Amino acid sequence: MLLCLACYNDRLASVFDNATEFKIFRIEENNICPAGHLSLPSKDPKDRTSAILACGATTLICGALCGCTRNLIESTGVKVVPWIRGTVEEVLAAVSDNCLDSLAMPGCSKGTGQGRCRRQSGNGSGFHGHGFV
Amino acid sequence: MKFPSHLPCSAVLDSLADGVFTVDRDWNVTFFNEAASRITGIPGEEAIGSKCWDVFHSSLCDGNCALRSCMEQSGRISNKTIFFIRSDGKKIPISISAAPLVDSNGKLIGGVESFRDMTDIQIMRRKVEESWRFEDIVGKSKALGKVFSILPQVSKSEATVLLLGESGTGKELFAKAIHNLSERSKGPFVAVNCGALPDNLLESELFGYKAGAFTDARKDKPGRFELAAGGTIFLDEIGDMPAKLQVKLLRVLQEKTYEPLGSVTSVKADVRVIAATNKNLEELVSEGSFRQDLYYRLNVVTLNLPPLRDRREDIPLLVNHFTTRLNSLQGKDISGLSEDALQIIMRHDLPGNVRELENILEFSFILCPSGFIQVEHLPEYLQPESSSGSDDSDLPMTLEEIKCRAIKKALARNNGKRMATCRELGITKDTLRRSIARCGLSGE
Repeated sequence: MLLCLACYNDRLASVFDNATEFKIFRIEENNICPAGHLSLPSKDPKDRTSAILACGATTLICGALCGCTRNLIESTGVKVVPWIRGTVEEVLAAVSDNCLDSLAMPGCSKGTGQGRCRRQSGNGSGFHGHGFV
Repeated sequence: MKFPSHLPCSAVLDSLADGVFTVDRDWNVTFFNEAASRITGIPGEEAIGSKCWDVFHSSLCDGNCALRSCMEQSGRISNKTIFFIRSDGKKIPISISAAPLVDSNGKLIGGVESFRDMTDIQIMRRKVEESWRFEDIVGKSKALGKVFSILPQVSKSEATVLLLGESGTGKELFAKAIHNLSERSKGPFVAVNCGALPDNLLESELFGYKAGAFTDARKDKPGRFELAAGGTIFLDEIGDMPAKLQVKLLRVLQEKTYEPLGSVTSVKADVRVIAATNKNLEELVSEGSFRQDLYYRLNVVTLNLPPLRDRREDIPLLVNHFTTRLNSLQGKDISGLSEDALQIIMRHDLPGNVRELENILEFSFILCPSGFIQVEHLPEYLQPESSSGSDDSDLPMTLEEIKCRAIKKALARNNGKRMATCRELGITKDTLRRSIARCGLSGE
């Protein structure tokens, strides 16, 4: 399984649309290995979606994401886990430990219960309880 | 003046309608007022202690931080319009102001940013912009306003419309607008360029043919009139329609029937006809190349579409319109034309009208990476002459010579029209007349 992180420098970009790089990781059994990166000159959400598909990633983890872009990416079958913050290392560790929800952006945490982010993430498409590994 | 000691600072900040937050030098949020919570939807207790980019998720957070530049350059930023993404996925336009925070010893301890929700203002601005547009046609000029004012009534009627205007004035756009506003809007809109097809093809293209009508006609072919049934047919460049077809079209307009090639029965034409031309049809009628009876049939409602040079005040609006469209088409973030570039376009005669303006912007989008389109991004024919060429502006001149030169150039740009020259130079008619006499120039 290939995982795509929308990054700015060594952290997840605050806003997906502004990410300067996609970092790709392969998840095999208990290991997460780097599988390449793509620099992103265009800000067009369609180009970004094509880039995710072109590198074969099936899951995207990113920061803030507007509704239209999210719909566009999800319509291609890519699983989107938005509203996550942290450095690349922190995110990979959380994926490995299956606790991405601990990295939810402020206002989107588990503590908010039926908060906006959980509700809009739909049935099982949120960041809680992902069995990535 | 000192801040009252008994007044808690946070109480003052919480009473503001604008969102305010502060950060320390490590970008951790140290204060988040109530308005900030309300606008972002993030509770203060969750925001405080987090990195500001994780809280604010604005368009500047990844690389263009306003607070960072204030803190690094000890400057301030006021009323910069950006957007942030609220956690329900909506983009919210905000206006921000930022400044560094220093302690009593003058040491930098962080930064403060205030922000204002601009959603309502943007909705209002959009409403105003909408009042300047009619379907896809943009403009607030008087010349266009006249056309806008009668377009709804014209659209609702079933009358044949004749659109007159120079090439590039948007005749097809107006035809589409009339169709979209008419009772036939659910039907098809079919456009035919009468000047683009050879005469023999045009007839079969318009009216279709029956199998066996000629050697290659193995099966029936519907014409554009049939394809437009229930809707509108737009006949562009009607002035180029051959005489034989003019008769047939006249019959369609008079009797609402036509016969496909090779057919012995008439077909009912359930279409509304909108015709357009950039030629002077009256002249064509007097020359005998256009039927007078057809001209009168087409001329039920005539709309004269003004050329762009007669509605220059629409140029900034059109620039805005095309910039927004090209940004979304090309995924770019161009802010518009710089003042110098806009000045050049405003002074250019734009013989190609709106289409030329659109082409200029499309060209400039290729050369301009981001920000405002500068003069050097414009097509070469709009670039100011270089000083190395015939332009001798670098040579020393008296003030009088410079004035004469400016008047000569402005007259040339305005095709010798004195009123337009006065408007451009901001001088009165009398001043221009005296200057022309003094400089030995001639005006229209």
